[in-house]
Amino acid sequence: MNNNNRNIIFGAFILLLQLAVFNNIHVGGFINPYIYPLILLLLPFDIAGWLLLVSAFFLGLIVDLFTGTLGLHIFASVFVAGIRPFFIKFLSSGKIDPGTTINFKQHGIVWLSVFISVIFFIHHSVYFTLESLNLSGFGYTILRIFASSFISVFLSLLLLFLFKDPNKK
Amino acid sequence: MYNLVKFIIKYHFLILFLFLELIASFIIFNNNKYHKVKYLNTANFLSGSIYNFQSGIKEYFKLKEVNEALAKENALLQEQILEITYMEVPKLFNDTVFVLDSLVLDTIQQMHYIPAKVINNSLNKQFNMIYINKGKKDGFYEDMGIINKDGVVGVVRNVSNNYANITPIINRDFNINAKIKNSGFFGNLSWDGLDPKFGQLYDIPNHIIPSIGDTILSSGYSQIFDEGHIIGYIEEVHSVPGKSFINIQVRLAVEFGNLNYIYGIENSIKNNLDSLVIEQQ
Repeated sequence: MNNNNRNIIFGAFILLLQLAVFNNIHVGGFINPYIYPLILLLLPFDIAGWLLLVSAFFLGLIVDLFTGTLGLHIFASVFVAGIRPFFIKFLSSGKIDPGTTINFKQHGIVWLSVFISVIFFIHHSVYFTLESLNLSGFGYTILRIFASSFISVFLSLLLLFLFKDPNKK
Repeated sequence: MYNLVKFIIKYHFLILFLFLELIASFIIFNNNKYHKVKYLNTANFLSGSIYNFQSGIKEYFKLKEVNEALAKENALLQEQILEITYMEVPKLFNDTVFVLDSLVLDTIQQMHYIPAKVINNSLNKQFNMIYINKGKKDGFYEDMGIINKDGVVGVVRNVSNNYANITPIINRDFNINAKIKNSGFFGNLSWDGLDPKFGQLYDIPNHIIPSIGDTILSSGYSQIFDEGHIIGYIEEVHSVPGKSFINIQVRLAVEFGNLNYIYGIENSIKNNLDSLVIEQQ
């Protein structure tokens, strides 16, 4: 099975996991893990910009339809897709091989952790700020952002590790 | 044209990004009630602050007119005080008075007036709006009746802490139950969007022949306005062929082009009544 097909199945699995499992997890009222942005990170590095944005829009729309918060996930998802290319350029210092996607072998655990953490932190910040839209309870919002990002990053790395391609050691 | 295309191609990522985020915001503020209210309140606060500043400057040029109007209002009130003082209240004993209709006393206690200043006002739109410099903090609330010294102005549509906006009679969303003073028949008064000086009274049965110049009053059937606030005066009567109703052109009592001070009618038992109505439904 080639890399692209694997990633498509992996992406579908993540989406299913998000909609069926993680949408229902509310630990202590402030941990709501959102792992679906990982799907956007799985797309090839040299994907066309417009395709990335449009996929992000529809990904957000699907999640929104299932959580009943119409628009919030679209906004956060498109936001992350918008900064992804610049962040990848910054992290890989300008050299991008065509067709690469994120993987353990090529990038290493540290690079992947930084990449995923920053993207997830930005996504969660945008989402939770927009959801509360309130400066008075901002301490609580920050707590939610940090706690949820931490859990989401942990879960994402775990999933990536479990779905590692066995052929590439 | 070529340059425009080149520009769009060059920045297509940024343009598409902003476009999608704009759509997302639009969806958010249209579909989530919480976000919609937040947006309306913030917009209300921003426009309120700007209009307040603007009207602070404009005020100086109007001081003379306002003074004259206030003096007139003062005189009128003085007269009313005299009338009340000289009104003969039949005394039964030293501390007991005879009142024919005790309901009147209840109504008086039920209503309180809160003054506020108009900071912005439009005349030339289909959905006109009035902004005032007081809000939730001063006791204004949504669906509160608004009058000025001449008569009915409108109803509060949206309040933030320090500002509120009002749907005036000259807004096509506005609708009020009104009655003709002399005959007592009532109908619906609204505005057709044409002339800010005139409102239209509908649904008056055609066997009535209203006299030109008769007063149109609020009927008191809604909890927003109590009975007897002047809305306007009959200007013209049109009969509609084949219909059993007549339409009346009403010259509005309030001059919307020259609004300075208004009063909010605080109805202290409205909330009780509202909850009663909801319970019964």
